[in-house]
Amino acid sequence: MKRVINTLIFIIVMAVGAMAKGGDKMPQYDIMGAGSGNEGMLLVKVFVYAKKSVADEELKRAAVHGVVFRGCTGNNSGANQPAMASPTVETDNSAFCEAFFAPNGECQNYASIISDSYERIKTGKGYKYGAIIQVNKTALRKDLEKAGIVRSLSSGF
Amino acid sequence: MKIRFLITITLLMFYTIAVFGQAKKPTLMVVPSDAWCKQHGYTQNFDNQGTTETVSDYKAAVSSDMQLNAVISKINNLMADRGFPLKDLQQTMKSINNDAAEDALITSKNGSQVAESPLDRLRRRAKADIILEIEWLVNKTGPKSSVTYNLRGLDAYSNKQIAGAEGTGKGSFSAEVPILLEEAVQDHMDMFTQRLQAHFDDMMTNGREVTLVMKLFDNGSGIDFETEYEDYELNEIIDNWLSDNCVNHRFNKSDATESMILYEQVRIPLYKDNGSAMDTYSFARDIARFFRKEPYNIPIKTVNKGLGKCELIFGEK
Repeated sequence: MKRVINTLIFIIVMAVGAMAKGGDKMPQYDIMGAGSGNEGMLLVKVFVYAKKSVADEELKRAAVHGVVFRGCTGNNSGANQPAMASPTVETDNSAFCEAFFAPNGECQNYASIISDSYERIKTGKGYKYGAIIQVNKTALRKDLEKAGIVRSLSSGF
Repeated sequence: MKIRFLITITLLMFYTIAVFGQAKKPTLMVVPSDAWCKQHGYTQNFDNQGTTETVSDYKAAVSSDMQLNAVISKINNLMADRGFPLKDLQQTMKSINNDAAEDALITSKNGSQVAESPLDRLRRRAKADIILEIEWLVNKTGPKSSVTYNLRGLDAYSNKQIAGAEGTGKGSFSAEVPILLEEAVQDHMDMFTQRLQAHFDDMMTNGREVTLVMKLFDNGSGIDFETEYEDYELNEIIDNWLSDNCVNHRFNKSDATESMILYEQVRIPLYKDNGSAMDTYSFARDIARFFRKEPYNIPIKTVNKGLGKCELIFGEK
């Protein structure tokens, strides 16, 4: 009987752990340019797909993740914003990236939501929540260069 | 004692690698394109043996066009943020003028002046290894303004475009042209630097792409590039040397006669055997040393034309 209870407790602990880890997973999102920001800043519009509401932190981490690994189009000047690093870098540095892009991770320091820019659109399986987010791409790039995630233009010289 | 000695040696080795293990950094400079200079009237005409030729007048452009200076300054700032400060066109031109004036006044205690050949005077010009050529056009449709922007990175030695960013903005009814231009510069810069990075990555993997020009002194020595040494013509021996010393044996003999050979896309290693940085001149000097020895005994004058181009003139120093 005691063994059964222990096994049940172990399974519950494992399940909770797995769920918690699943919550840290990067949500499904879309990213596009939203105009030109001030020098060193980038304005992007992010939509995060969810069944219920989406916290600001989720929008911000998706924006920073998109700027680093996806890039975007749609700036006023017609320029493409290339990704700072290739997606393989994310898998190669998974420990750093998981901590950096966690919901309360360091990525939150580089993004701020433009007020009154929230949107909610009904989709087939739920909603997509969007907002315009300002990303401090210069500071983000510098810090990721120091961490070895993004390569510096002058590396090798 | 022995351990301390070993630690010191190891630290010294690390220091040597850190100091020497860096490739030579190319210099970059922003200049306005010829089309932009022509459109804005910054050109000079001169008589080239009966033919009137028009050249861009950069000095006039940088000393009178505020918008151009703002664009150059913005690009300089953005590149400096990326750890790659650029040479400034305006400052370089001032420096050339000042150096020339100062050299003319310098005399030794015995009254000797600074030696300067006609070639030195000709080569005293603003130059960089990579030219960032900029141009833009303001489009007007009724009250709506937009900017078409084009930034090209050109290798000064291979004449190849190695990076670029161009596009036309969505336009605005209210924003002023300088604002649109500023937006264009900063938004296009990331794409440009990404392509520049791809060029540098290629250079790190496959070696620096340079040009070598080989010529002969007309001194009646009887040597030309078809002179035979043990059944091989001199130009074949040069081919073999390049094949042995280029990265992955890569070079292209673009043009050759008995008195001239042009090698392009010559991929030279970034480092010498001792780990210090290699440039085209060092590579050319290795060729010169090879032909100075038996059985060739040919003296070669090596003329340095920058980080990526060198001229070797066979027959004399």
